[in-house]
Parts: sequence; C-alpha cells; structure tokens
Amino acid sequence: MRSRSCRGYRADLPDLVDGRIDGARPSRLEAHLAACPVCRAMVSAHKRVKQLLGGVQQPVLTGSVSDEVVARLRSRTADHGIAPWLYWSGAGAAIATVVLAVGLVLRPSSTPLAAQRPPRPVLTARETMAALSDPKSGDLCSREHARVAASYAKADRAAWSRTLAEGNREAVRQ
Amino acid sequence: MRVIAGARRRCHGMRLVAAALLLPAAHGVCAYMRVPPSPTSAIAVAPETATAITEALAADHSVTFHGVEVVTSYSRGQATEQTKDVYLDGPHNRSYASYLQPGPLAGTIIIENGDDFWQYDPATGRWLHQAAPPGMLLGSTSALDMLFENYTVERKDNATVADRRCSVYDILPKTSGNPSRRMYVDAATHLPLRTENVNGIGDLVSSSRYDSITFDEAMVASWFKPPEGDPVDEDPVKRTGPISAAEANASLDFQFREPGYIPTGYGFAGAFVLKRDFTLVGHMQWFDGLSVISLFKQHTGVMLPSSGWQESQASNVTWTDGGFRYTLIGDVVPSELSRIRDSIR
Repeated sequence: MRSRSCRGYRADLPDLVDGRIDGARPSRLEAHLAACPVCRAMVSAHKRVKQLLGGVQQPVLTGSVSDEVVARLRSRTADHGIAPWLYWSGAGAAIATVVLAVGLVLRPSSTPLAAQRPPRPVLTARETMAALSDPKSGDLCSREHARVAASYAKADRAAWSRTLAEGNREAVRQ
Repeated sequence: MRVIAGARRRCHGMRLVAAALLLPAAHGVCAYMRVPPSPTSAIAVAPETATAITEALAADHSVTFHGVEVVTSYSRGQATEQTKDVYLDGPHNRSYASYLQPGPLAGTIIIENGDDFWQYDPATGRWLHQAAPPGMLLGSTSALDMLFENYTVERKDNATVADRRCSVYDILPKTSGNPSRRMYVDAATHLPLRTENVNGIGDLVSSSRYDSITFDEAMVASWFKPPEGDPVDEDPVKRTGPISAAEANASLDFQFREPGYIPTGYGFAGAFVLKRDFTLVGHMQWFDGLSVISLFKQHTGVMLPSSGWQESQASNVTWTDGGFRYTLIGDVVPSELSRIRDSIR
C-alpha cells in the first residue's frame, strides 16, 4: 500500500532537494514525508547524490565538441579499418551521447532566473534534516525580537536581557 | 488664593525651563535612535513631563555608574529573577554586565561597546561577537514623536529605589490593548532605577530594579572588550537590514508581505533577512514608540505539518500555513496578535 501511495510523490523528491518545488505541492509532499520513512530516506539519498555531484569538477572542453569526437573516431577507424557507415553511425551516436550528457548537466532550471539563488552549502542528510526542522528557530525569533526591542526601547533592555543571553548561548552551541 | 497663584507661577517657570531643555534633550534621544529629530517632538504631553521622560530615555548616555540590577520576568504565573553586576560608561556608550544568578546564567558576561556586542559563556570559555542592532526605518518620524503620539504620561507620587529619591511616571497607551510602563526615575540623574512593563491585558511582563547603585565611578577601557587571547566566535546569523519590505522580498526565496492589519499606533520599522547556514528567515518589525511587534517567516521544513499547526503564549504565537512557519511576537493583547495573524496573506 505504501509503495503505491509513495509512487505519486517520488517524482517530486529531486525537485524538493533542488529547492525547485512550488505551488501546493510542498505541503502535500511534506505531509507525506512526515509519515513515510522510506521517502524520507530517499530524500536523504538524493541529497547525498547531490552532494557527491557538487564535488565533481566539470570537464573543460576546448573548441568544438563534435570536431574533437569526430577527429578521435576518424583516427580510430583508420587504425581498425571500420566501414564508413559504421563510422558515421558511431560518430553520430557518440555526438548525441555527449550532447545529451552536457545537456543534462547544464539543463536550464525551471525556476525563473530572478528566483535562482547561489548554491547552498552541502550538508549531510542528518544535518540537512536537522536544519530543515530547525528546532531552535523559535529561539532565533525570540532572540532577534529581543535584539531590536532592547535596541529601540532602552528601558526594555533589562526586560529582554535574559532572552538575549540565553538565546545567544544556544545559538553558539548549535 | 496666594498659594495657588504662587504654585501657578512656579509651574509656569518650570514649563519655560522644560521648554528650553526639551528640544536638545529630544535631539539626544533621537540621535540614539538614529532617526532624525522632529521639531514637534513631545508636544502631546505636558512639557515638564515630556522633558522628564525624554531625559530618562537618554540618561544612560550621560551617566556613569556601578550597580546591582535585578530583572524579573513573568510568564504563565511564574517569576524568574536574574541578578547582574552592571558597569555603565554612558558618555563612551559602553557597558559591562556580569550575571550573578540564576545558576545557569551565572558567570555570563555581556559587554556592549559602541557598535560591538560580546557575550562570554563560562561553560565554554568562549565569547560570541555580534554587531549591535542598527537603527530602524521610521522615515521622518522620531521614536519620541511616536511615544508621545501613542501614549500619555501620568506623574505619580514619589518613591525610593536603592535609597535614592525617584519620580514615578506611568506611560499609558491611548489605544486600549497596547502595553504600558511604569518608570521610577532618579531625581538627580534622570536614570530610570526601576521599570515595570505591563502587556495589553494588564499582566506584568517584566520588571527591573537597581538594588544598589553608585554614580561617577572610575571606568577602565579594558573592561569593555574581551581579554586579549580569549577565543571569540563571530555571530553565526548573518543579517541584512533594516530594509524595506520590498527589498526583503527580493532577497528571500519566498513572498514576504506586510500583514493587512497592524494595531493602531504601530509604524513599520524595517525588515531584516536573517541567514544561518542555508536557512533564510524574513523578519518585519513595527514600533509604536514604546514596544515592538515582530513577524518572522521561514520555510516549514519537513518535520512540522505544513499547515494547521499552532503554538501560542501570552506574547507570541507560532503557526504553519502553506509550507511556511510564522512567528509573531508582541506585548499587545492576544486578540490583536490573532487579528494580525488572520490578516497575513
């Protein structure tokens, strides 16, 4: 039963990890993730893959990719005596593969340009889940409110000092 | 009749003196608040009272003292007390406070020196360094204008705090449901020696008092920075602001609009974008001259229901809606917090 209900959500998991999910989907997806450990594990796996991909250096290609591939194939056909039709079909397949691979790596984001953000630091799945759930966010809000309140209304400084002191201590220990 | 006439003459004389003192004093407070002074500051309250409050709000920039301060916070019927040993060097805008109690905070030191803020954690032996919060965005209105626009000030009977004679003032809201404050102002230095903050439903939220205080103590510059060689951590939260709501919107990866309703008297005082690691939080604030209302918005994350979850306390409410977590903090009545919450699109 679980796998059937999960199937509808799994296509969205990569977009969730990439931060490219919008509309009503996030709420449905998050509700499902809260109840489904299998999909949560898949989210972690996607993040791990993204982390690994984030560390891969992109190859630097000089000149025309197709020219380079064709030249290499030409030299190989000369070496091994491959028939011209096989040579050209092989070359076409190789070019198509390279173009597809480059296209996948450099595919345009579905997110509007203005909404794109700089890459986020990559965390482990455990750290990511902890950060997303952010149990201390309430403290962050109280601390920030205390900062501005103490700053604006001098007489509030004393009233908010405890919030500030305890909140700051938590912030450093996180 | 003669007594009344004499009293009137003295009163008139006091008003003239107060008027002469009023604008420079108001300018001092506005400079602290980092907003331009307004020539209309403090006209809604009797001049002598306005002068006293103005001087009280600016006093910690002119006095030097060493005192023991007790701060009490009240929450859900429970009082929590903390005691601090405080050195204030007002003219140089720096202070040193060492917590004596309660136990978990004992040994904590807070140093403020100009635009720098350091906090020492005795458990780790490390200091946290933060930039002091910048000013607010109030346009041409000064904080003092807002205070006297939204509050009346009543003079009460004199009282004694830390063996010093104090004038007592009640700062009362013109709009029902907004917070109020009682201040015990030292007659000689104008420093508030006792303050009681009351929320919009009349509950005492916090109070502070000096149990002992001595003025004009010699201060040493080295007290107001961490000792050389001590480890100092920079604040893990990066802040951008204060900025307009539109600028905050442009910096966040979600829409963050002003609520459709904000209680009477409160004006928009700027927005901040907070960033810790990859968590982005939007923060808007409103100020009425006395108290601040804050609204925070961030992504819910996966551990909380994306909608329908709520947690309330007297002065704050946190809830989730549409995949976002909202936190609203302010000392107005809970029904006003609910009204703000319901007006958020």
